[in-house]
Amino acid sequence: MKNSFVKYFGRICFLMVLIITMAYLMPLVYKLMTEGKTNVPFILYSPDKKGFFVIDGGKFLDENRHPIAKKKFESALPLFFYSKLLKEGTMPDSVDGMAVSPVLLNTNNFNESIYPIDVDIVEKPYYLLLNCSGVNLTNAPDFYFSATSSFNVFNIKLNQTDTLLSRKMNMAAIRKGFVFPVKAVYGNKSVKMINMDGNFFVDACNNFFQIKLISDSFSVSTFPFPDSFFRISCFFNFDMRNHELLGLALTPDNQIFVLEHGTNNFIKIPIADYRPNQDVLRFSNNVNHRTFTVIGDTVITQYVYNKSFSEIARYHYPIKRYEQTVAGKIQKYVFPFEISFSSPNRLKVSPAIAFNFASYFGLNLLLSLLYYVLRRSSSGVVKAAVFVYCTGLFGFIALLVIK
Amino acid sequence: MLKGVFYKEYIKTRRTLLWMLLVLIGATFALFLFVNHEIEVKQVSFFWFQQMVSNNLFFVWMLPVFPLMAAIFGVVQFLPETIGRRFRLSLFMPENELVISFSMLGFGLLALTLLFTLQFVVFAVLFSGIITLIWLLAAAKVFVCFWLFSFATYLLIVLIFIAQKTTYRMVLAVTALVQSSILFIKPQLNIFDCLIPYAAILVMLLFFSTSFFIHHYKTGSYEL
Repeated sequence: MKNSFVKYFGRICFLMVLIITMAYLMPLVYKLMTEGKTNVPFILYSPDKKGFFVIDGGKFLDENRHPIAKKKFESALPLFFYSKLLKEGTMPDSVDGMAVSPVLLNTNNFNESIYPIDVDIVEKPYYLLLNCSGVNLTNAPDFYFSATSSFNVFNIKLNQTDTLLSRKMNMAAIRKGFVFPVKAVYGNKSVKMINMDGNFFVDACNNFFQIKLISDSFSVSTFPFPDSFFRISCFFNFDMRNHELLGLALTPDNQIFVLEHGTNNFIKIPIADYRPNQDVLRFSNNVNHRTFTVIGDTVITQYVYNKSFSEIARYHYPIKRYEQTVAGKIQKYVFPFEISFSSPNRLKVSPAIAFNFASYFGLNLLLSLLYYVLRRSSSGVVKAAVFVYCTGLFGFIALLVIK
Repeated sequence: MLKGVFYKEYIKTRRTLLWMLLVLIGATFALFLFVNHEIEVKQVSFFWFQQMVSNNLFFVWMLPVFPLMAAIFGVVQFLPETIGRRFRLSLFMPENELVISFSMLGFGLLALTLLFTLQFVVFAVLFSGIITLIWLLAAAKVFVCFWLFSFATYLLIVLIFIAQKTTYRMVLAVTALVQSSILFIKPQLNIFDCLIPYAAILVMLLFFSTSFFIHHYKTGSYEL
C-alpha cells in the first residue's frame, strides 16, 4: 500500500515535470513560429502645426493616419530633425514664435524611457559613487558604496573600506536628519561617468534625500513632500543638461510626479492610465514643450505639456499587439496556461505563470471528453479526465505518454 | 544496509569524483589567473566597473561546468547499473526498494553537493583578495542556482537510465535540454534569485519521480 502510494505520487511528480516543461516550451515555440517583427509606433508632436505625426513600421503618417512624404514629415518636426534640416539648410530660425539655435536645441533635447524592468528595483551590493564636481572622468570610478544600516564607501583600487569618506558621508546624512537603515537607493538609469546629480535615497522614515560627492565632501539635500501621505515607490534621476528637472517619481498608487530643480518641488502629472509594471513610459523634453507617452497594450497615448506642465494636447494611437492577431487569439484558446522566464518585452527575467481562461470553456472540455472516450475501459478514467480538463493540452499529451 | 549501498556507490564513483574535483579546482584556478590577467591589463577600477554596471560576470563562463559534471556523474553512477541489469539486483537487496534507490540518488546528490561546496571554498579563498564579502554572497546565489539546475540535470540523466521505454527516454532528454536552456536566457547577477525557488521545486519533483520508474524496473513491466 505504502509502495503503491509512493509510485502514484512519483507518477504525479513526473506528470508535473512534463507539464511544466510543456507549458514553457510549447507556447514559446508557437510564438516564435507565428510572431512577426513588430515595431512600436513613434509619435511626435509638432508645435508649429499643432498636431501629431507618427512613424509606424517605416511609414510616415499624420495624425489622421494618412501617409505623408518623408521631407514634409521632417520639415514639420524641426525640433526633432534639426540636425538633418541644418545640413540641408532648411532649418527655420524660430519655432512656434520662439527663436531656436542648434546649441539651444541640443541642450534642451532630452529623452528617457522607463520600462517595467526599471520599476522593479533590484537591491545591489554596491552602488557607484561618482564625483559631481564636474571633473571629466576618463578612468573608471574607484569608489563604490553599500547602503544598509550605514553608508560604507569602498575603494576598489585599494580593496578596502575608505573609513574617512564613509564617516563623512554618514555624518553629512545624519546632520540633515537622515534616519538609517536605508530603504531604497535610486540613481541615473543610464550610467554616465559624469553625473551631476549624485544619488537619491529613501530613509527609514520615508523621507527623500539627495547626496552628492563634490571633490571630497558630501552635499545633502532634502525634498519636501506635497502632503504627509506622499510616498515614493520609484525614482528616476534624469541628469538633464539644462538642469530643469531632477527626475521622475512614481508613487505606490501609480501616480507620476516630476521633481523640479531649484524649487525642489514635486509636481503632479495628471496621467491616470499608466501601469508601471506593464506599460512603457517615455518622457521627452524640448525647447518649448514636454511630452509623456504611455505605451499600453492596445493604445499609445501621448500627453503634451508646456513648460509649466499645463496640458496642450493629447493623442491616442491604437496599436495591434500579438494578443490581438489571429495567432495570438488562437494561442489563448489552445494553451490553458503559460510559464515564462522572460517578460513579453524580453527585459525582465523571472518565472511567471499566465492563465488563459478561454481554453477552459473550449479545448480543455473537448480534450477531457476525448480522453474519457479513448481510455473509458481503464480504471480511474474520471479522475484523469478531470486532470486533463484542468491542465488542458499539456495534461492530455502527458497522460498519453505516461500510461 | 544503507551503509552498504553508500559503500557500493563510493567504490563505483570514487575515481570519477577525484577527477571531477581536480577539473573543478583546475577551472577555478584558471579563472583566477584569467581575472588577475584582466586586472593587470585593464586596471582594477575598470574590471569592477564592468562587473558592477554591465553585469558582465567574470565567472559566468565556468558555470556550465556544473551541469556538465552532474550529467557525467549520473552516467558514471547509473550506466554500470543498467548493464546486465545490476540495478534490478540492487533493488532485490533485503531492504525496501524505495529506500535503496533513494539512498543511491541521495549519495549522488550528497557527493555533488560536497564537490561543489569544495569548489566554492577554493573560489572564496582564491578571490578573497579581489572580491568583498557582500559580493561573494551575491555570487553564492548564482552558484546555488546553477547547483540546483545541476541536480535536476543529474536526476534527469538517472531517470533516462532507469526508464525502460524509448518514449520516456526521449521525453526525459528533451526535458533535460529545455530545463538547462533556462539558465542561459540572460546570465546576469540579479536574475538567479528568482530562479532558485523554481529550480528547488524541479529537483524535488524529479527526485520523487524516480519512484514511478523504479516500480516498473523491479516488476519488469517494460522490457529494455
